[in-house]
Amino acid sequence: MSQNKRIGSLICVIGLLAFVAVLRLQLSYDLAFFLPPANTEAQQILLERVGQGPGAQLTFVVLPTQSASTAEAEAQATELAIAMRKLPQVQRVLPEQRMLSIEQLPPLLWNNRLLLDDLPANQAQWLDALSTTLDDMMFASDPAERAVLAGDPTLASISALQQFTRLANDQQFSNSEQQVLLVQASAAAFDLDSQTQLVDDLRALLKQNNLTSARLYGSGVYGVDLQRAVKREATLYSMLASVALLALLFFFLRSFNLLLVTGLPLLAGGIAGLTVLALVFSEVHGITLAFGFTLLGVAVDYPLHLVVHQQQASQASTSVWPTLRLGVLSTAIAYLAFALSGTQGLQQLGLFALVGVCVAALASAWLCPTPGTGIEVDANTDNLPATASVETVQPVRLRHWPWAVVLVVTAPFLATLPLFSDDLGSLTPVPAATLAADAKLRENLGVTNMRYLVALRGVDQEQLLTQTETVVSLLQTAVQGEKLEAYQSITSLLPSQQKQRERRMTALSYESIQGFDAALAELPFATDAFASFRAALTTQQTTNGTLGWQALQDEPALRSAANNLMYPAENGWVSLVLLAGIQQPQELEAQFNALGIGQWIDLKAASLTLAADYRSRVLQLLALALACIALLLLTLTRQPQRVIWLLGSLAATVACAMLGSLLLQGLLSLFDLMALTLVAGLGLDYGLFYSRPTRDHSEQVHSEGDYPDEQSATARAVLLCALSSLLVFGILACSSIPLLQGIGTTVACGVIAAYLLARAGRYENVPSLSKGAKRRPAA
Amino acid sequence: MSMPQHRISVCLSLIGTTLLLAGTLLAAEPPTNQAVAILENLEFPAGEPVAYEETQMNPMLKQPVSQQGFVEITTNGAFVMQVTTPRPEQRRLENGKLSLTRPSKTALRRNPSTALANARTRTLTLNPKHGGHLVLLAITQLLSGDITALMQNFQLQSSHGKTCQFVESCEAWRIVLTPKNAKVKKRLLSIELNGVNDRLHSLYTQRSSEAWQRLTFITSQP
Repeated sequence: MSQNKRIGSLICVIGLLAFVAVLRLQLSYDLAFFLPPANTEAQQILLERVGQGPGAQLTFVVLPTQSASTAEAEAQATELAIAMRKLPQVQRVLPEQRMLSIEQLPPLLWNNRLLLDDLPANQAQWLDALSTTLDDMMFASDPAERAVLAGDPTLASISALQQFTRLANDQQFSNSEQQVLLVQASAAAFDLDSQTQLVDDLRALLKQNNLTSARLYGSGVYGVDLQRAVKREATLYSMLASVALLALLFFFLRSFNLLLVTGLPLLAGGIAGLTVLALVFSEVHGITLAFGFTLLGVAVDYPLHLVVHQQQASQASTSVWPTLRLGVLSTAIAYLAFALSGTQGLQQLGLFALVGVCVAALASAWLCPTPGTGIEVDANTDNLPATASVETVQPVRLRHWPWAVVLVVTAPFLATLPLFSDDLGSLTPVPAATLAADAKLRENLGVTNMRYLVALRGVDQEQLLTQTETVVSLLQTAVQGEKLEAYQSITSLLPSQQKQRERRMTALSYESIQGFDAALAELPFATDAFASFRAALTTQQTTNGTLGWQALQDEPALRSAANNLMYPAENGWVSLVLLAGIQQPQELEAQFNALGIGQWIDLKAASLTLAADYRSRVLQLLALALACIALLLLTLTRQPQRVIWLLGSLAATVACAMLGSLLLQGLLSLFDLMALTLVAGLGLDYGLFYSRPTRDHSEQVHSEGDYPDEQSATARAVLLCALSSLLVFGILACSSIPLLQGIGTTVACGVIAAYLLARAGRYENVPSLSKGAKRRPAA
Repeated sequence: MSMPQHRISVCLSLIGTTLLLAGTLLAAEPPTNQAVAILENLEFPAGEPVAYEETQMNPMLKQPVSQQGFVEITTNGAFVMQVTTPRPEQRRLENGKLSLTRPSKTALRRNPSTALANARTRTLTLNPKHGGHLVLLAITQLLSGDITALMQNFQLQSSHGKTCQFVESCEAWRIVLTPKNAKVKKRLLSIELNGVNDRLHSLYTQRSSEAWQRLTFITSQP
């Protein structure tokens, strides 16, 4: 088959695969995609809560104070907040001027206020409760506020609601430097279309008000910005890299046809990887595409080796295929480790790269047939010498000191410096500075991110609510003892049916009603002051209604809070009790453990162990992969000295890249491990070719110049591979996405180290001077 | 007396009464700027606590209830209201925001002397359209001498619906503030200020025909 036919058939296959990929591919930009799988209950809860917490729907609008005074800046922020409240995607904007009235309370809470808390059961308790009501009334003198007190003297409805709006003080929204507006979206954080609309509307509004220096923070904003940045940067940098790579290759190869032969395998690998992902996964993350194609960069080496060797050593080339096959298999094993790692994002990356390199290698072999590939060699393009099959080869002499020296120099640094970050934030592509500013805003405004919580699981909802009430009872004691500042529990909105029945019975009991009347008589209240409360008692007596889960789901103002604290899970339901302001966590944990139900969770500890556990697992898999690669090399080459040299050079390359990455961008994340694996793959590739055995010319002498041709072909091919990788990853290092920038930097450092180590590790090959050998004439 | 004489005398007396009344009113109604001048010259020394009593009545009560404590305008213009009886509480008004510190009953039972200091403070932005908030804003503006801000939300009137009225002499005075906003007017009828010379003696807030509140400053020193 002619090469043109091969090219044509490969393009057809690529087209077919692309068609399938386009049909099936669904992109996602969920930031939780790259989070590791959970091993413990605490880690499971942590992952379930990512993106689902009450803080996930919030967007922080930070307005730097431009006006002369804080008061003017506050006035401007107030005007802006009024305009924001009119946006369709906005549910609420804080700070807001609150007016306590029955109309502003969720009807479900107001109508069932007698079931939300224990009412006083006797005269003494009522006297205490109504004294507090009197204090409240001295301050809340508006008729609307008095109406709330008259209908709900213990303010059970307000207390239940306050638990879920623990935001705090208006004071904290403004200072001399900035004003903060907190926008609560009506859509969930993962509803990217709605979030995009909201973010666009907010930015347009800020622009209208000449507040272009304002900054937006929040999960929704990051998702939207990430989506745009990935699209923008993927387009820009892939175009830049492609043009630069094509220019470089054309400079070396001087043939459009060879350019096509070099580029098509890479394209085939990428499209095949994408098609497999589209078929295996329901959604593919945008980062997988952006990062996956960079990981596939190693595949450009395959056709290059074949083309350069065919082009330059045309008459005497030993087949490079066995060496290439070794490189492909080794790289594939490393990527397989990631495909088995467990995180969906890394699984996708691993699978994409694994399929990509294999298909690219096969496509290279298809386009540049050489002996040993198993692909039929066309008579017209067969330019291999007939003598090749009978030639013998001899190992190349290798220097071991370069990699040993590098390892000795770098080892003390790597042994003493902290290497890995256990911060889950390092797994998101959001810049660290933005995450830090986000965390500070949340901390200042008291927006969730509570460290401790209690998780309870149960098959039956009623049983779970009863257990939660037991925990809440303990927590109430802690609050009264000032050991705990506050807690959030579903039972504040939805008490168990049993508790609701008990409360109704207490409220309607003779002792309670008599106690209420007697306490009222002792205090300066008018006898009809609490007429609406008495009416509610009568209603409870006649309707006998109870609060249920479905009723909460039908109440828009409470649905989100309810779903955050109780949700269906595998084999039942999960109830979470969030804790804030714990004085002595260990003491409260011990008291909780004595109850014998549920689990105490420290989210910070769970977060740290989650990242550390996962990193440990990935490292184990990579160690296994390395052992497999070593075994593979030993089995296929049967040259222990060469394998030691290869693995030593590989270790030195990775050490250099690690050190470079640590110096340039700080602690390593899981993505850096991926980049280091790519560096190892590239380093192994260069090493394999530089250490490739060459023909022994002692027995046969070929045409003039063939031996130096082969040596220089290898050097030229490896140099071209290294330059192309350096070019592509150097361009990637200019990306504004920190993740891609870090990968670009790490791999570029690694490529330089790998090339220099491979080059320095090999003696200049001289012809064998064994007895009987004829000195070759000078070229 | 003949009929015409009678008519003339009646007319004269009517004219006289009218003129007399007009003269009295003219004499008793200084222009708004005089009321503003009084308010601008009010002396409420910064940094000195002043004892007060607050009495309140509304339709939910059968008799007025009261609280006592101290008020103070701090040197940086914040208005601090420290309730001592019946239960300790602190309200602080500053830059249009109210910070309320109220200890729990449990904390009060455990240690009354430290309960207030250890209690949590909640801050909220005052809403000028809220009657209760407007009163607090007005008090702060009045005592800190920010009369321009006060005039933005209130009209200064006499109790007879005129501009201002002096009682007996210029030493004792009464100024009535009525909200400019029609919606607020439904919840806050008026604030009556009573004072002597450059001292404010009391504020009487009429919310409705049945709801009122009186804040009386008892002495200049606690």
